[in-house]
Amino acid sequence: MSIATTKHDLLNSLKDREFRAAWNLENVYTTICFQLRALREQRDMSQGEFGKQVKPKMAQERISILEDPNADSKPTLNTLIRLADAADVGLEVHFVPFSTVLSRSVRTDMHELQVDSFDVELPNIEAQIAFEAVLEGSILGVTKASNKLLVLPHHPEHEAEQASNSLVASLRERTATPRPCAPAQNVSLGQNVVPTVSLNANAAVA
Amino acid sequence: MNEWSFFDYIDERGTNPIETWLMEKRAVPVKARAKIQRILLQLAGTALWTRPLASNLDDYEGIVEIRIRWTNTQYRLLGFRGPEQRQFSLLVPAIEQDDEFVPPTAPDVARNRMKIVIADRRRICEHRYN
Repeated sequence: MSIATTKHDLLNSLKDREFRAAWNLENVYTTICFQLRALREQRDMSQGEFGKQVKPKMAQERISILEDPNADSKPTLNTLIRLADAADVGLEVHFVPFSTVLSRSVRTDMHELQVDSFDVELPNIEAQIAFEAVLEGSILGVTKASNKLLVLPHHPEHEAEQASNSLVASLRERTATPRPCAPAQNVSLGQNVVPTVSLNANAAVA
Repeated sequence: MNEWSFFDYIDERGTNPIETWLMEKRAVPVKARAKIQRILLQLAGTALWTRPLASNLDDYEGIVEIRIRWTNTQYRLLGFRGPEQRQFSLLVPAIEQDDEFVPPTAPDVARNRMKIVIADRRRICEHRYN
């Protein structure tokens, strides 16, 4: 069945308010259950091993319950934060329009539920920031910090590099090795620059 | 791309007993239907189904039960992997009470329907997530 057909079917049901409310509930908890399993399997861990990563430690039986969508016990927000910490992934909880719920509900492939840990995705985050910096014109030495426009000292070599074909590669290297004129740790590129990882990539936890 | 596509059994009169059951609010309240459909969608994206959500039925080779609990009702969807690869055919809806299927004939009906579907693939249609 095509995704469009599935979405069409679901949309018909979502027109019923009672179904909508129930879908919210089931969508959140089913996603959490399966995403927890996806994260654990991505890390090649047993339930017991994953439970040991949680602080404080969780028993294997508890992880098993958290992965079971039929279980009575539902995870609290605090539990989700502990699980996110154990997997070293981010957690987002926010309200979204039903169009978002609909789109995400039909993307249930387990690979879509996998999330890299911070260490694994760090090179990509840095490359992304470097790329965004190019788009924002940071190469000219202009960057935004704390909502103020900060004009950095002019460096002729920046302009030379700007003409280079290896611009992005150069920026990546520079990001990894901050220069005195723009220490990476002091540069804020704004909240929209760094992609946020969501433990629950499929829906918001209401 | 999904790992599995769900199909519903079509009886000799051309009716779909799975859809009829799902849309019958006395049998399956709206909230239960939401849960059943959500879990089916998730299973469609999951290559390997594990207990307790799904398990092979003892003494009924090839028949798999999908176990979905909503409040105090244990819903069971009996089906089989097929007729084609990456397809799962839903054959019989049931509930489980005191370790027994209701109706008690559900596993036998599932086995018969599986044979019918394997012999005639026109006896299934795509499952709708209504």
